[in-house]
Amino acid sequence: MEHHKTLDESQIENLFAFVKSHYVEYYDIQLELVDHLANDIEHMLSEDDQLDFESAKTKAFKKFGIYGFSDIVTKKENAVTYEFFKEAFYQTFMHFKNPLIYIFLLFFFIVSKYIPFIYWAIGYNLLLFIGIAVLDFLIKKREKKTNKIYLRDHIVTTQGISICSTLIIIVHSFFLNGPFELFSWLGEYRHYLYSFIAAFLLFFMWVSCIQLPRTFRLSSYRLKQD
Amino acid sequence: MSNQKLFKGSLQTIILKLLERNAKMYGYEMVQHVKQLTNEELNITEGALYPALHKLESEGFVEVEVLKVGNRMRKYYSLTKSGVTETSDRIGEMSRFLETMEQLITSKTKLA
Repeated sequence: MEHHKTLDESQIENLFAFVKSHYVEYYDIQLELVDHLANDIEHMLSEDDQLDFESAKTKAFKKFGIYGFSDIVTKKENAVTYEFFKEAFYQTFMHFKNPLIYIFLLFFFIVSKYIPFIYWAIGYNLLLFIGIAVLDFLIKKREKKTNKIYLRDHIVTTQGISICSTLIIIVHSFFLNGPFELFSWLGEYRHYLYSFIAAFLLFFMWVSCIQLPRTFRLSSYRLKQD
Repeated sequence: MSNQKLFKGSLQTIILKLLERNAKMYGYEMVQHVKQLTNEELNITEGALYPALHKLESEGFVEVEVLKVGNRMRKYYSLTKSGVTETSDRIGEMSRFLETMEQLITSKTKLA
């Protein structure tokens, strides 16, 4: 048997560049894939003296199939995103145990009852949008400081923003396309619905953009390295 | 080759079982292990292994530790508490399934 070959620093760096060039931008996935490729290449080089590093690298990469690394990244993003939303909805509903939410509900109820719908709906949406924009700016600013992006942390910090802006747009266009015709059959009860949606959106935004990014389980190994 | 399809569905169970036996493993090690255990009959494909591992991680059944090995970082996976219970559940499920398949394949009685 041949003796075991070990890749040197520059070859490891080469692998990092290789993985990055295949659109893996998250550091945690990069390091896992680099280690995997390195193990495989070392194994191949030890078994075959004729083989050089570059051809072994190509061989090792081929084993990842036609989707290469992108499938791994997308599937992980999806898994973490799903986990995040489940938690965000759960936490938002948990807030209905919080007395504060009833103050908001009452406030939105009064607003929706006494201010013409179109005014308060636009005003409310505008406020939420400004809130989202400010949060987005703050998060982007913070993420630029570190050049290592961890998949889990990235999703936890940015996913709230993207879902909230989508939700606001949906609710906004849905309501402004004739809310009164749509819910007129509810009569006076429609104000309960409006205030519930308004309070829910506000608390969902709070949970997914501010609370969860602070408390959600981040990449467990991050602190050990950085 | 024809084994691959059947194998893919049980990948998570196999990963859990490997971790139960070895406490702490990294991806490449798992591929090699399965190759050895099955005399190269079965191959875990890299493109399937990592998504399965990441899914188990996000479900909280396995946890990750990164250690420096030589001149690079290595990600080790190990079972969590809930992962241990999950493993025995899934192994039970799988053996029941295999038993049923066995019965189905070897059964000689014809249904009237």
